[in-house]
Amino acid sequence: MNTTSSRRSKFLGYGALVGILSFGLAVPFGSVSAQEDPIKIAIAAPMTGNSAAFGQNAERGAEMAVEAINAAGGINGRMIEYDIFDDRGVPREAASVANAIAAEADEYFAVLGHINSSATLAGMPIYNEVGIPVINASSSNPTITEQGWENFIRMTIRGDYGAQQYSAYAINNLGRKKLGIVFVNNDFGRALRDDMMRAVEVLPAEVVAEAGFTPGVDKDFSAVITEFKNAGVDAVMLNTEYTEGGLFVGQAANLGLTDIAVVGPDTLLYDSFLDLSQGAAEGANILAAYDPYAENALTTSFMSSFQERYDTLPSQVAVFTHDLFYLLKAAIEEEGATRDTLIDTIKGMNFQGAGGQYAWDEKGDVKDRTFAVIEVTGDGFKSTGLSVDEDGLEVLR
Amino acid sequence: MEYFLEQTVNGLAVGSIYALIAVGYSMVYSILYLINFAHGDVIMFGAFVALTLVGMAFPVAAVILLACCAGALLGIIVERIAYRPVREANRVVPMISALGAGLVLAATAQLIWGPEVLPFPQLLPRGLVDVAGIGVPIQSLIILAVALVLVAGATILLYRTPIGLAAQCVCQDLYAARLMGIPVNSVIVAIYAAGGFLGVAGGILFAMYFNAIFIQMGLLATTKAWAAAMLGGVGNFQGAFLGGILLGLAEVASVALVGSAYKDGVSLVIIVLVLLLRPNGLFGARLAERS
Repeated sequence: MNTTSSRRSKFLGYGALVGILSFGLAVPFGSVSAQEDPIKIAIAAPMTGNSAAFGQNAERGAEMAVEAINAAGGINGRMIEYDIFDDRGVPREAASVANAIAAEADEYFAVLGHINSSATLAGMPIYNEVGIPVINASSSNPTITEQGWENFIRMTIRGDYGAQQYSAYAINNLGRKKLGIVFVNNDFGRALRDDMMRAVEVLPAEVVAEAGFTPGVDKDFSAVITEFKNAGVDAVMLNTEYTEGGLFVGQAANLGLTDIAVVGPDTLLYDSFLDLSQGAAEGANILAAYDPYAENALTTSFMSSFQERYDTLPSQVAVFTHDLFYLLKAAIEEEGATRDTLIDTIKGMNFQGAGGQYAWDEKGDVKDRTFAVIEVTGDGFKSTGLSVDEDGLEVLR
Repeated sequence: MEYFLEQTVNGLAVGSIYALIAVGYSMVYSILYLINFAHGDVIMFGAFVALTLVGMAFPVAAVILLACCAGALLGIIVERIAYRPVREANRVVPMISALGAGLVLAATAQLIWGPEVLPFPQLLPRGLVDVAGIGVPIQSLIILAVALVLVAGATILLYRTPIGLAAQCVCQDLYAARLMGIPVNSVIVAIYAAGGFLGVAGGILFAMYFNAIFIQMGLLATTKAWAAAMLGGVGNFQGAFLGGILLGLAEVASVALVGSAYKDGVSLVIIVLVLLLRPNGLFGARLAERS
């Protein structure tokens, strides 16, 4: 018994020695490498194909953030590096990109992506399997967070909540009761319309007229406008791109449909919307995922340096991608997040970025954050500083 | 009732724009039996010329007149380059060369004015006038009036003037007409010029009514003109006019009765039905008897 126990203790002793040795060896190496090893991020975005403009915006947002952070000493002294993986905006490609990233999962601290919701949906199971955190800028499909991934957070307001906010703004903020919905006649536009209708039902108001249209083809809205007028619409929900939106508002002025509220998404936030409406857009309310005209220092400095560098306004993809890098920095430096605790850490944070204030719920969706309200004035777009009054929407959440 | 009348006015306004475009299109067909696939692009180009002229601060009347003349000139050039050399060839050949001419026009326009949808300046006052208790948009009234005047003018040109009579002869028999001493080439050039002139007038109204001008407008105009001409009876000048009006009314009716999402579907179904029941179009019987 004695011998056995002494053998065992000897064995334990050796074990401890080996342990201490390896620990002693590992610590210096580890800390040296921690100072020199960069933090690598895998960006998954469509760099080619129909959504390439989104990918370009993601790259620009990343470029600006990473250059600024690295120039200021990186994250705890570690530089940030990123590799871009092109998913072409297609789920099939997104899955193979996800597999490529998963194969080198140890290389990367986190995945930033994808852009298109369908691509994110395709990638999530693969990332989840290797346990890599996914931080997402602009995939708004509600299904993503409803699937219950524990390694996911996003910056954009999820689609169904956003749709409900359009209705809530017209009804709660503007006091309108008879809504007319214009929507793109495809699955995306129809889903948006359905979610808006759901909110209208609980807020009590009415959708008295609705009109779907074929994007890029329909240019004549006169019959729709007359129908809206006849139905007594007091708020037009203009879920269109800037071209159709501008045409609709201009033609409405021609046909005498005035004195109505116009509420639309940030796809209208382009000068072309104003030009095409030929002055008729004045007073329109645009609900944007972030407020590009907000008067806080973070936003104004980002907006002006982005514009100076790329000669165009950043889209929400650029802003959210940019903010994600700063969020990463804050999570690691201020909250001590590691790769394994990153998502949980972020969920407990309250973060101020160029795109405004962010906080997250258990599912990884942003909470206490509504669309920013931007008004069309005589000489362009202007921030109102308002947010959407979501009173009454709780029953849908 | 008021709603019904207002929608009818909308239909008439859009319809008369389609009609003007279809008439220019049908003119060429009724004389030469050639489908003019470059027509829409000539119209688009002419409307862009109007946009440029407005930018150069020409008075409105001059803008419209000059742009329509530019359309006539383009019609003549297209005829000279894409039609005349292949007039004797198989009928498919001029169709293809016209398509090519249309593509060249569209590409040129895109190089000059860019691919974006641009706002078209409001040359006519906005607003409503009260007609028998209904608020009728001023623009719709003017569009209606302009269309009627132009089509009446074109009808007189085609049936009451020497050149119109010559065109009728060319239409009946090109070779006999030539033997009778009719300057066939000049007559054909005149027809193309008239087609371009009317088309651009329609194109300007189109751009003004929709507040917008864009490159794909050419294709859209060709499609609508083709549909209107089929509806009215291909090759039938008056039929094309009525076909255009009917197409406008059908589009508005489908928005009002079925829903805007089905607009193009419903109006195409109407056209298919018409062609199934009356293959020569609603007003095409006369042509069938004659041939």
